[in-house]
Amino acid sequence: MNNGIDAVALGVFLFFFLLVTVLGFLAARWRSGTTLESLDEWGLGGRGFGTFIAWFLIGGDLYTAYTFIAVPALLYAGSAVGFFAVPYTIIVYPIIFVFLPRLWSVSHRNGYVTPADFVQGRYDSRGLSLAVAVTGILATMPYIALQLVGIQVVLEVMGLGGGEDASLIERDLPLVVAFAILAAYTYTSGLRAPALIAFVKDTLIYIVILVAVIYLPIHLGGWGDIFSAAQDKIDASNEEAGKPVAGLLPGTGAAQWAYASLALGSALALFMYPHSITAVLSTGSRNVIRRNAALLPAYSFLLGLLALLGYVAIAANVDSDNAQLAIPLLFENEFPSWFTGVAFAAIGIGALVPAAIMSIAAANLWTRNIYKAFINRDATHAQEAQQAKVVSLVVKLGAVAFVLVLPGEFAINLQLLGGIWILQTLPAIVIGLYTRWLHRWALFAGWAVGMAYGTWVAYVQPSATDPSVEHFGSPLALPPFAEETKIYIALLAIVLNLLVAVGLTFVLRAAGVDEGVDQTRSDDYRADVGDSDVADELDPQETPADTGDSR
Amino acid sequence: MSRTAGSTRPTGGQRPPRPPFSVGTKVLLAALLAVPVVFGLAVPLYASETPALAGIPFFFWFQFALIPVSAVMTGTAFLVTSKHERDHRRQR
Repeated sequence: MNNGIDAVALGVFLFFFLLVTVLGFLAARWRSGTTLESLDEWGLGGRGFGTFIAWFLIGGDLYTAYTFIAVPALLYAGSAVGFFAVPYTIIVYPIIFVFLPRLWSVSHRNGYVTPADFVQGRYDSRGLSLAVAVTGILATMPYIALQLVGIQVVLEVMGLGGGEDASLIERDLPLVVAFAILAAYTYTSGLRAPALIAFVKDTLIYIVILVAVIYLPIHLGGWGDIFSAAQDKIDASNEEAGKPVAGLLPGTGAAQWAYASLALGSALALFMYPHSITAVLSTGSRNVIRRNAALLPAYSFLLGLLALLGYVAIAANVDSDNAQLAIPLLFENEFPSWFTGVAFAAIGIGALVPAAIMSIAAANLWTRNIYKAFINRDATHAQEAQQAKVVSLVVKLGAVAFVLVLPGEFAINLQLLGGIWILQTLPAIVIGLYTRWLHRWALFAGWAVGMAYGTWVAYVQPSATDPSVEHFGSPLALPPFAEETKIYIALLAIVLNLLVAVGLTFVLRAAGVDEGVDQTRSDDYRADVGDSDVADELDPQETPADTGDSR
Repeated sequence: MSRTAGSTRPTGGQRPPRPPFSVGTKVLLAALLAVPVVFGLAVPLYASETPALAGIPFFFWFQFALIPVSAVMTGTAFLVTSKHERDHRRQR
């Protein structure tokens, strides 16, 4: 690796970083209502984004910088199972199409800002709502931390702050500065900042990836040569290990089960994440969501191409012990400085957009479902917005501390756990959109069992390839009574969760335990813009949240 | 939520509730949306190196090809639902 600083690449990177900083602050005035002093405005961007903006916002939100680093890194390291990200982002869109319009409708009718708001309204249970909110915050924190890892990787390859011998301040200062600026404009502009910056981010990403996947194969002798170079590296590592540890594609039954279960489990989990739901609730109508379910797969294509760059890096003889550096190094080796700068800016800004949305989503959850539900029940809209702004700063500070203080594997392990945890909120949210048959306390018990079981199973998994790793070594585990076929732990935990929820529902109903009062009505779930009580922008004076006596 | 159902909003009357989809439409929607999910998860079907396309193993190009197919399926489902809603509006 060249440890000197490339002035041209750094200049281009800084130019784009300054551009998005200016945009981030200007965003406060973009399409703004009369005031930012309510969560509908600060935390959901006024709830009026159309198809075009939503496409950039949701795309920029779901396909994060970490994905762009980690997925090709898996292929570079010889694990074709990493390509599961592609079927995962294929099957997620029919799922979105079916249930998110219902969540949108019920949330617009009743002024819900977070998924936990819906759970509270539907099940009349502050305990269950708190469980959903806490799970969301816990799962989001490591995700934000991993976005920082994405920036760190780019900075390191650029020669900024990288290197083991650099002092602590020298090493981490650029990262801290980047995040401080992000925190400042998120504070002032709320969700409008990432919505506006997403345009820059995604335009850069599309240009960079398309240029790379057209130019590099021509330069390296075509895809045939690239795949045979990858095959050679995989053969060599299998020979070295004395057993098949890698493959160009999931050839064995076990690998195929892993592939399919990771794709399904991740797709189901994706839209339980608070930042996804925040982006979806910011849209202006049900049709924006449905239309985007057909338009967003363009990003999946991009992600697939990007994943293949992992193999391209092998063919281009990129040599790095840290697989996460493979893609940045590939760009540095193969492209002129200015284009490398553009590519690094794309990854860096790619980290800022989701990090902003995630911190807003976590702040919304805290404000609505912990602060307002338990601490200050009479909070006004202005107090809610102020609380959320401050918490978004705290969340980012926490993420920075996380990455700087704790070892790198910690964030990755927690991210693995986050996926398992967040899926445990699915019964309360998704099944709740269709039926109230499951009892609120049965749902709570199912959630608790799923969380505990999933955490424990993930903890005891050793790594299949590295014997020194005894815990959190794999997202896969053997189901009970199975001998060979491992599947994604999140799916195992959700099955147990559902069994507990259904079983206990029978018991609680037989015992006549109070099931609470449903505050939603059946036609709420199909309401659309233009219907009675679904305003384009909610009037802060009249939203039901304002009275807040039982929250 | 403090508001009990219907206390501040109009209790029906203003507009008829949006009618649910007919059974035929539901089956059509389910079929359209099932295509991406079923093929996406049918890993043994496509975990093969051949037939390769321009040097790209079948495993990879099949999944790339599935992306536009899925988009068309979901897009068609969108057109079906928006036609349903337009028809419903015209009736009012």
